[in-house]
Amino acid sequence: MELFQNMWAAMAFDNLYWGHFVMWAIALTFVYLAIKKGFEPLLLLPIAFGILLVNLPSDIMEPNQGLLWRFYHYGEEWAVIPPLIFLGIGAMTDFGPVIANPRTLLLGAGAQGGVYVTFFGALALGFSIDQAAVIGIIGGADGPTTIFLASKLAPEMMGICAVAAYSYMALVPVIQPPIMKLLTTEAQRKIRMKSLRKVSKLEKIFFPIITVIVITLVVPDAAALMGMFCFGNLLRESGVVERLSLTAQNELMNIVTIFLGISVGATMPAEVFLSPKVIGVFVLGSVAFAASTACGIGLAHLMNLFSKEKINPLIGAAGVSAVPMAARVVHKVGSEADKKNYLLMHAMGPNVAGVIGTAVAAGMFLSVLK
Amino acid sequence: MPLPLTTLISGLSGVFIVMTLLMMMVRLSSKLAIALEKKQEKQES
Amino acid sequence: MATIESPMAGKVFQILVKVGDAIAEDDEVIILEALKMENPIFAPEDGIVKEIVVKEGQQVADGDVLIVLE
Repeated sequence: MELFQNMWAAMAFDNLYWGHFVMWAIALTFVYLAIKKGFEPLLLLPIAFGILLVNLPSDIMEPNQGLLWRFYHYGEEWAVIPPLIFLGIGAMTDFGPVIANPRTLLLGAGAQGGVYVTFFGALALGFSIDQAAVIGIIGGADGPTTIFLASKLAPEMMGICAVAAYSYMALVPVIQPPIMKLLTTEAQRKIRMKSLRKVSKLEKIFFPIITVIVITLVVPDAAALMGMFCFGNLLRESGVVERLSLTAQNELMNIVTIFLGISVGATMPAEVFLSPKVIGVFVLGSVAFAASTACGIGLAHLMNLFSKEKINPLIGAAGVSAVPMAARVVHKVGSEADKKNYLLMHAMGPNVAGVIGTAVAAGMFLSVLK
Repeated sequence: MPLPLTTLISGLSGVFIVMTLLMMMVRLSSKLAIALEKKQEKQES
Repeated sequence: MATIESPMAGKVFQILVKVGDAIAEDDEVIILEALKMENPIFAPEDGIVKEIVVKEGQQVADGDVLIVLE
């Protein structure tokens, strides 16, 4: 009899409480959404499994000994993985649309307005100023940047903010169109834009070099993200190191995504996740997305007041950096008004500029709050 | 000035300053790149 | 003689017309794949397909001629 008692004690059932069951349900819901609905499966599936693992009683997140704790500590706490993901994104990104039409850089900045709207919303709801900054950056719609900023300012918010950012990214096609239609007239949506000029190879090589110099000089705190981003882009555009470029965008990216996903999931044990604050983060996250979309469109309207060559205000909505979902949504809403209006490539300009904008906004938060 | 306000003002103005500066530098670098390529073409022909 | 030009860079996914077809404005003539999205390209005006310049699977740049009409 004693033998069975000892066995029972060695098993983990005693440590379970209702919160764990709720977290299992959440993890399984994410697994379902990832597999069945195709919601950002590359990230949601590892995150979901991380959530499941950390809510099974074990020492897997125990500091200095747990496996996932080590992934988390060296990958995210040290802020190593988000810049590596930026390296891959840089290697995947074609900056041609931005170089052909540099005005779109301003639209990438405009959409960051939503970040600050949400920042104040979060402060009003009683989050600390560091937490509010991380919640605000969700509005930039950039997962790695959100995780990067959280690791520096509010590590306890990392998991939930990453999940919010990635979930809302999957919901871009649902959240954005109503706001876009509300803020533009039919005639404005029909504006056709002059086709983009050809961009030469040398221009594309100059771009990452100029970008990293300008941004690092003005916002040194964005150097880790933008340095890797521009380096990745130079690998791509140089044309002489295709092997490195392909590794950055495929193998390396996939490897760090695995470590990132599962350890971000592991930052969400029931004791942390099941608090009323989490609901606040999700509400604020959707506010952040909506406000960023609105700010981007607003800035596009403003730019049209001052310039002769009109831009279609819809492309302002692509200033949130969900690449390329936001650009696709712009294209779709534009073609509903005029099916021969092809906005996809025009929207890619603000879209990739939005990635830079969000990283810069994160850098500015760091420089003030760090 | 309270910290949230400082964050807002420095943040927003920072983002716009960077992007405006970047816009100007990208225009310049494009001009330089195109000029260099033209020059090279001339030498080749 | 008019031409249908590609409005963006991408890959020709499917050609929906043949040489000699009469097409009307707004007909879908080609499906272009860009950013993993299939984008139908519509005819800018009425006409008869005189020549199809591109093949399925071919990469095209912004402004390349896809189809010549007469």
